[in-house]
Amino acid sequence: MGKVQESPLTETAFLILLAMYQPNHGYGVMQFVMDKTNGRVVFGPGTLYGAINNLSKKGWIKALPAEKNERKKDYLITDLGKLQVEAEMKRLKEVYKIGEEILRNEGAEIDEKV
Amino acid sequence: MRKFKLFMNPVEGQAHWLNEQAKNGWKLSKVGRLFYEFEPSNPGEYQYAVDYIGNKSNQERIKYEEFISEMNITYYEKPINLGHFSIGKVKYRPFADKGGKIATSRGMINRELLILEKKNDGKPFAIYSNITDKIEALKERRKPYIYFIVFTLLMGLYIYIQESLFSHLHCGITIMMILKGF
Repeated sequence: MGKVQESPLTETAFLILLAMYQPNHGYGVMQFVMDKTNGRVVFGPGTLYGAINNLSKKGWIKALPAEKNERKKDYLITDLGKLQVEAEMKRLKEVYKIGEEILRNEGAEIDEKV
Repeated sequence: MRKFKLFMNPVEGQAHWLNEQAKNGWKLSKVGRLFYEFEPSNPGEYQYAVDYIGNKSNQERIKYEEFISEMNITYYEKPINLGHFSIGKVKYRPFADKGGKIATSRGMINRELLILEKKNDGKPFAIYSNITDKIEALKERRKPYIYFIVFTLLMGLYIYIQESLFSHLHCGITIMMILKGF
């Protein structure tokens, strides 16, 4: 078991964890993240490989037993991984609120549907 | 079409050259130690990137190559020091990761680079997509150079000491006396 809370998560780690709430492989994670961020984040193969190994070592995701006729290796988020995501969501909400408060006072308009 | 090319910068330089070829409608078909073989393709259909993997152990390399294939990327293995590649069977690499320090010709020798090829999706082909990973990758590439510089300096120092001390007999005798004194 790794440290329960490691905050803040990198954007890379956070997005990979989200992509793995369903069983997913490297290519699927890249597609998911590219799709959800409208192409802003495109993981390079070196980055994705390193991050998946790292998350796996920490026990935040785990490799699923390989299925027949399937060359691609699937991973799924673990309970420990879900704890990280929840803690990160809390942190993000907190900093978002601070930003919102300051900008409101400044009279800036906040676009809710980013 | 067969082409021969040497690079001052085998990573970015090579990637740039391969992308130029791809723009002109040439796709890699085979990579040898010294030659590249190309086949015609649609101009700009493919894009290339080059990754340094010389720090990896052989086992790690195989895992990485499997992952690359899973990403629908084609890879070609390439030695880093063109025209000067290893012919020997075993090579000591003190700068490599754990488990990769001894390289063999069946494993990591002449496989220090991976050329990656994928269909052009209009976005730049980056192997490392965040700044931390880019820095880490550059640090790994720097290690062999640091090792080479330190090695060269030590060799120079060794030769200098030998020449300045032992070329004159009286110096030699002084040294002998000092050594005996201890």
